[in-house]
Amino acid sequence: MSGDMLGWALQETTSLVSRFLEGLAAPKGVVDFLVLSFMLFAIGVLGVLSRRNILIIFMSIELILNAANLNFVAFTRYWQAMGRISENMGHVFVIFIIVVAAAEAVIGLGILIALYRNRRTVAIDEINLLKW
Amino acid sequence: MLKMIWLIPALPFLSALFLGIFGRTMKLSERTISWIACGSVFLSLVLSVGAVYEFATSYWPTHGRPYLSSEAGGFPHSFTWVPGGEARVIFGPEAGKTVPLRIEWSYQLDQLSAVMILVVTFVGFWIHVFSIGYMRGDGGFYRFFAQMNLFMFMMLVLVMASNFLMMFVGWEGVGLCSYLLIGYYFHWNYAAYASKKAFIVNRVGDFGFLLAMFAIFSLFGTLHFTEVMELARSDAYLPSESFGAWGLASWIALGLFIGATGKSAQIPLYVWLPDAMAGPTPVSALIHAATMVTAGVYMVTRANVIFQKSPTMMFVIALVGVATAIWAASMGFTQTDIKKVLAYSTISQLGYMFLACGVGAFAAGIFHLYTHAFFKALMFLGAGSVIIALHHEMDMRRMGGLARFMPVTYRTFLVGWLAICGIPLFSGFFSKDEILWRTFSTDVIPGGRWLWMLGFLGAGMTAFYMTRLVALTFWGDPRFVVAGGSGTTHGHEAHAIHGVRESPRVMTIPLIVLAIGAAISGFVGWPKSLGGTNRFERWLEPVIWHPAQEDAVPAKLSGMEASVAEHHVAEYLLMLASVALAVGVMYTCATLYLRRRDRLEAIVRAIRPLYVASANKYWVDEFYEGVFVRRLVLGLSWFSWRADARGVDGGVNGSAVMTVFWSKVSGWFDLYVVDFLVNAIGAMTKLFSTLFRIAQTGFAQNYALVITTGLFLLTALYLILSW
Amino acid sequence: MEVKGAQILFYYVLAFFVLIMAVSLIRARSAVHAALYLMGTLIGTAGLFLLLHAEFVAGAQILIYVGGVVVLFIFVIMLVNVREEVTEATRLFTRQEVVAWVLVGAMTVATIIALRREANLLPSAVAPAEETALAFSEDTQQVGSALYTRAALPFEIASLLLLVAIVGSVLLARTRRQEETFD
Repeated sequence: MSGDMLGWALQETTSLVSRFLEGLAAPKGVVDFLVLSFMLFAIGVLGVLSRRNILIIFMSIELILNAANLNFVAFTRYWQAMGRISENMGHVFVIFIIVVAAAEAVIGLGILIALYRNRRTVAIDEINLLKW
Repeated sequence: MLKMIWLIPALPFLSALFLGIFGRTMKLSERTISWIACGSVFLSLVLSVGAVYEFATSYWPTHGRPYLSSEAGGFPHSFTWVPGGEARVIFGPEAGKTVPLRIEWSYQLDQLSAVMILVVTFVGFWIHVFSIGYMRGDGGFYRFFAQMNLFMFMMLVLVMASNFLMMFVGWEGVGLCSYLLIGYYFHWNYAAYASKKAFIVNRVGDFGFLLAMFAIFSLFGTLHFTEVMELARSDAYLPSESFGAWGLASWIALGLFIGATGKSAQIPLYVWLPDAMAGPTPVSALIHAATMVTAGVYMVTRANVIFQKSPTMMFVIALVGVATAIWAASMGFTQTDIKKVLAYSTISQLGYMFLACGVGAFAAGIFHLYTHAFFKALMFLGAGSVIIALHHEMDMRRMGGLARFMPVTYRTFLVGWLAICGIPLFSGFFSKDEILWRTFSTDVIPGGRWLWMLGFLGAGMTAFYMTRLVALTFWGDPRFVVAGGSGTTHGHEAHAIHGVRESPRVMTIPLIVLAIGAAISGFVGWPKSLGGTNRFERWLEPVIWHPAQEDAVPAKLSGMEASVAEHHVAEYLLMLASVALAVGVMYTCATLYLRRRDRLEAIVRAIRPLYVASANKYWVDEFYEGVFVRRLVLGLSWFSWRADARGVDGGVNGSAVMTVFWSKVSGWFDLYVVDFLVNAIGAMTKLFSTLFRIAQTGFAQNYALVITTGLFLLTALYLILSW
Repeated sequence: MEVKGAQILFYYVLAFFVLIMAVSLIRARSAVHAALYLMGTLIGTAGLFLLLHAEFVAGAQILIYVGGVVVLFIFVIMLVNVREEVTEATRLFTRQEVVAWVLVGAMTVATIIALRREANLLPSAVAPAEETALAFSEDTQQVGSALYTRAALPFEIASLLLLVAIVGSVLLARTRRQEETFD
């Protein structure tokens, strides 16, 4: 019996691996880019939620915005490939996101500097005056 | 002047009102008060004289009926006092008819009320003047005069009333003033007691009066004198009764007489008068000698038509009158308080007046009222003068020999004494003998001779106790101790005489005036037997009903004249007998009290039981007290106590208990319910805040985490829903 | 829109590069290192844009993001000058690290599963467009013309936004002395 089990296991594994490898070599559709952008987003969220240094939090926020940009661009390419050649509002939107991200980073860092001057720290869990 | 008769009661009333309201606050001087008080009475006197004169000379000859002030118009002459509703006549020929109970407040001036207002205002005025001196220095000067003036008003209303109800107002009003004035020294327990007694005993009589008034209205349908007396004459309304019979007329007469008994101190309601001496002496003079107590006699005379319809009641009245006369006189023998002797004397003389009314000699009764007012007021004022001079000493045992010290008082008192004893030419002689003669010769009721005998006896008793009074007070040797002296009472020694002197002129002048009155006032009643025309009786003729004369045939005139001549002899004899008795008794009494004291004491020892009984007023007061008063008072007080202790206190305590209980409940409620709710809200807030503030970490990443979690949940929800 | 053929290799290389850079960013100890990792991520993303035929956007990303924002970050790091993080004693992660991992993990799993399923529903290329590889990309022109015609208003607003940001940042970051001087 164990022989059958082993054989079945082996078979399953090989089919799994082969399917995986096939997948790897398949042409990449829009979903792959979406998955990638989501993973970037997830990493960014993780950074925002768990780092102590405010600067790194800001950088994580840039990551998140980037993930969104990737999303837009992926879909623009998708629609263009589908036949709607003139659909380029995605790119425009990305431009605006970049602009906004820049502006936001500027303001945020300005606040950070002011905060640093007052509290002499950039650790976010030490800036808790609003704590009950 | 006749039109102004409404002022006669109004002036004293206004004066009383003014003095009563403003006397204390304005701090008027005694002088001002005296002028206002006496002035108003004087003006009333002047108006009375004028009105009576005009009535006699011009009104009566032209109209031949009493003057009613309603003839002069509306207010203030007269006004509709009780507009009244429908009432039903119950008895008599008009039984079942509805009549309006409409009472007018109007004044009636006829011969009878004329006599009364003259007596009241004249004697009242002089007593007011006397009071200026008597009440000098008293703190309640204004109050005294206010109440005296109020009394004058009430008395004048009584005698000038045109109907029974208005008369009753005056009746009650004088009772009220009597109460106020007897209780003038209200801090003195005895005075308060006496005033209460006077008022309550009076009220007992008033009950009878009221019942009689109801009966009169139920029979005649009206209360106005003129109308009632008019209708009462006819047999249709009020059938004449024969002696011994008892009918409607007797009932009404009984009710009226009970009222008179209370007011005029006859048996059995006389007990208040001796105690009324607790008031100031002018009060005793005015109210309890000259005026208020005579209101009963006036009322009986006013309603004489009704009384004459019931010979049974007339007999009762005469009997009660003469019995009272003797009864009171017997008590005068032993009294030691000078005023009490005079009080009993008053009761006794009032008995004579009722005796007169009882035998049909109403005019004689009024005549005696008129003369009695003079000499009794005179003697009371004289006693007042003595009392003041001896610094409020009233016990005769501590007086004596005052003739030397107070000549004017003494001489005027003598005039009164002679008058009351019935010495000829003094006023008392004429009136008293008229009464005695008419009693003897009456044909209205039987037993006139016997009644005469009792009256005769009473006259002798009168002479005795009055002489006793004079002897003890003015004759003999002084026995008095002046206040502030050595303080010991010796038998017959002279002590510290220098304090006693004659009273001031403001007091002696009234004495003189009244003495003149007591001397000459009898002349208007000079009897026919002595050659006179008895103007007094003729004056009152229109007021008195003479049923017998209406039946008399004019042709019998000569017979009447003859019988009159025949009667004169008897009258002379009676007159002589009275005088002789009086003189004899006076002489004997003077001798006993001045020279033969030992004889006196022997007599007293011999009749000791009688003496003790008389001195103790025959224990009548004690009897009343025990049988009626105690029961009534105790019963009422027990009842009131119970009502108060159980009911009122129960209610009060109950409400207190309720309040306490309710407050406890409220407190509990407040503590456990309200506070609970309030605290609960607070606790709730605390609880929730404790819960919710956990979220306020001040830690920005927490907030980010929460946002992300929310995002995640939403997405999950979406995914699940669209799966 | 498939990436076929040899470009698949670019995809994988760039994808891994971006992800590794990103993970390194959030695990960096020093802020400067983090900034550098950020720069790497951004460049990688720009490469991905290129792969997706978004040339203008890729250029803009390099110019603005990398050339502006990252430089800005580095300047701020200089101003803030945090040195403690270099030492071992300082904590890097906050207390909610675990929760964050759990949450993000769950999110990722769920989303990827969802995406994979959805992928089947997306219509694939029906009409295979004959793609002629142009010598020049027309993307820039197209985006430019769109910016000035269809998206003109947002463009202007964006410029206003930048103005506000400039003024705001200057205001926010003034020193006390500067405030006293100019107030």
